[in-house]
Amino acid sequence: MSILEVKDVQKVFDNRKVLDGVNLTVEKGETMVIMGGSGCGKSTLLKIMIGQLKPGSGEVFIDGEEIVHLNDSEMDRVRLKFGMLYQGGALLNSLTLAQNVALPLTEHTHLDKKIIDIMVKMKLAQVGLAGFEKKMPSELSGGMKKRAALARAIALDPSIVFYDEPGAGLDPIVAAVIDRLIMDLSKKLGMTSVVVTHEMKSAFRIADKMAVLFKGRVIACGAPDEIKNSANPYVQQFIGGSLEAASVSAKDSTEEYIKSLVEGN
Amino acid sequence: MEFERKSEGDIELVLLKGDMDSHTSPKARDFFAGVLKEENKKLVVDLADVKYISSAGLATLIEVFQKMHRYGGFLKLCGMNDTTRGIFEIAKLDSIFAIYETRDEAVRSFSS
Repeated sequence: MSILEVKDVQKVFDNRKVLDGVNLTVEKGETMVIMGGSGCGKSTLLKIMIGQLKPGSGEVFIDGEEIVHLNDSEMDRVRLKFGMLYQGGALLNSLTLAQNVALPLTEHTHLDKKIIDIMVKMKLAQVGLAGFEKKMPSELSGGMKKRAALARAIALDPSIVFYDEPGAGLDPIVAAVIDRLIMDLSKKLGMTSVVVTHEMKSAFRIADKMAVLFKGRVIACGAPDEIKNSANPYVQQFIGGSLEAASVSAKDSTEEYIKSLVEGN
Repeated sequence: MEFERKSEGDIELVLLKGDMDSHTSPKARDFFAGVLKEENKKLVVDLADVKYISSAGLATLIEVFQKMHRYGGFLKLCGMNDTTRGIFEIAKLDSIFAIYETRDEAVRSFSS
């Protein structure tokens, strides 16, 4: 059984179809990378997959459970199955790293403080931050913040971790360290990773499977080699980073702009 | 989660059965507290029948290790499946714990 399934998901914002029938299947232990240019709908899709946003239509299954129709308290229960690494890390600045990582454990378990303290040390060690327990987020570099946020995301041993642009704002070396962590969690712990990114190098480094989103639709999905050899011109333009790909988006947005002026939307 | 306790000479053997997660590890913690009350110096924990061990389960075993270390005791682990071993590796615990393939090897190691 797939651990994550997105079925015919659609979403419209202000008469603009952001997602237009997205289908996606992620198997247990797999690293799925969702790629696409700005405005292709990948952030909207991520929000729908983690239950932050309801789609206009369609279904999302996490570990066999349909989540679109769940209420807030039911969704909170499902959220324990996954971790989320936000683009900016989203650490609480008033708390130490240890307190940040301990937060989900104190909120969602009845474990003794001594056990939680040991777990926090382990989680920070897993992301290469052993000994940083008492540091405040403001004392850390961007890469360290992201690693600390990852330690918090995996505190409850989730089956799936969602990553929103994990390499954003990091230099290539630090971004590669984050990629290595994602791969380690997947290979050694069997965690499923769903990564939204537009960074090609990182995507091809970590992916077992890739999905390319364009105009709210999955236009290609498969192993990295299949994506590399895709006959779809947009996929080729996108992975090649050519100017033509950018011009496709620019042309589309100009058309939309003109249309909105004409129609007064 | 189930626990079985045996003795082989001065070596205490504990067999764990079932998943060791955040729900069951408090029970395991209570069980080990009882075992360690006697301040046994030699303890082997067999994980052959543990299919899944979470971070809470690992932390419970680390606490056992810490307590034994304080009174001069030795904890040895055995019978890990590949997944459990992977969890130990990624948590960098394979360098802290004495880990053996089988229970016999773990028991014999005390006499070597």
